[in-house]
Amino acid sequence: MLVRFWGTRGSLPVAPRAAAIEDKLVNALMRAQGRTFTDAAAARAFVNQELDFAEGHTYGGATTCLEIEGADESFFVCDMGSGLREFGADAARRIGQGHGRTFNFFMSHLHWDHIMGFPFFGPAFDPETRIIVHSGHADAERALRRQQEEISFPVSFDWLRANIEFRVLTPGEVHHVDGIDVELMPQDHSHVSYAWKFRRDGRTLVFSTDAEHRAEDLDDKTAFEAFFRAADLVICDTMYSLAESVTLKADWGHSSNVMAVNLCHGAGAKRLALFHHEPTSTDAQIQRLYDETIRYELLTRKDSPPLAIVCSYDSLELEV
Amino acid sequence: MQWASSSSARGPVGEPAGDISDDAREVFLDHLRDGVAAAAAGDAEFVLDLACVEHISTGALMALTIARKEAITRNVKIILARPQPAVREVLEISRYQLIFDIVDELDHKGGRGG
Repeated sequence: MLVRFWGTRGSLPVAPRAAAIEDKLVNALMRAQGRTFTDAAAARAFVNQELDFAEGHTYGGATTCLEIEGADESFFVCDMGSGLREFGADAARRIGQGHGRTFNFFMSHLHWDHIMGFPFFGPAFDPETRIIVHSGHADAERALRRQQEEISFPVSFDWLRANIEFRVLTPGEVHHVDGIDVELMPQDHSHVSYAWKFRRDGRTLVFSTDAEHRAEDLDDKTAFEAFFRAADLVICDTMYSLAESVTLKADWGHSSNVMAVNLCHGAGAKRLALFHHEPTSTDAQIQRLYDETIRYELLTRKDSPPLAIVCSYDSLELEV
Repeated sequence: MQWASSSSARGPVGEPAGDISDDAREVFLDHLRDGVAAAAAGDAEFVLDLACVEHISTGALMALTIARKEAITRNVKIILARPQPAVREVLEISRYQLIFDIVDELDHKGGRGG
């Protein structure tokens, strides 16, 4: 399987301001002082090899949307955040090259940042498109219709010409969807959220966003370690610091890098992707989170197998 | 994990030693609660002296978090003293320096008890 990240922010889409881009350019030029680049390739090598990611790139600002390649024919998509718009444009290009027109969506939950991209999803206007929205929520259709009521959006849900169906899946069962085994598990979040597990050809991917893992809840620890067990990749909500999540932002429905590492260590997972970045975080702050998480994993690993850490960004692709 | 007790100018001192592993979480929490109770009785702070702690697990951090919540209800502040570099790093990555006072010195007074 391949995971392609189209949106990695939580809560609200963000974009860097002009001054932030200027600061990056100035920093890069200062770091390159005295160098001569013979061509664009040489300059690009400098950016990729000598600047850290935050200095030379951006983690992006679209809200949650992931694509999973590896199904027999259809597109697999987790959540419909603002990143869905760009995914839809790319999907249209691939459909033009012969890809099928069926989209299987898997919804973590129905909060605004996870559904806001759907009104801008181009394939939804194509009568030859088939869209299947899989969810643990019985009210997924209501949530999507409501955000396109005239008071909120000028284009009604009923104007979408695609064949759209909604399927409610039962947690604790294995569901077979287009060649991939799919499971879901409820999580602690307002109106409930769901973690999703995808398995194919002996490879396992877990998508677990918008989940609060409480310090004193050992049942939660046991349940999630079981769900994450031996996963090749776990994508986790690491929005807050541990201190934030147990004080000011307790009961806000999110988790920390520390808890994510701990669960993955306990589960024997192989790789953790930090996800659902706080919208107020700058690229430098996300970079710091990433560096610290790598360090924390090393300090606390003890007898656990090493856990690789990745920090997700818009456009990242990971093989599973 | 081993545990000793003493006192300081701030109040009672708990002195864990070795690794505070996940397995030791409940015992650690019990000691923290005892320390907080002693501090509350004396209208003092409770000092957790981490000088002899080599590793602090997440379970231990969780016990510390629970003890802190309970201490707040008893008007007791828990002070973290003299953490070793690796332990300090874990605390800082967790941003626990924002919710605990971390001090580098400890003014012991009186005798030590086991």
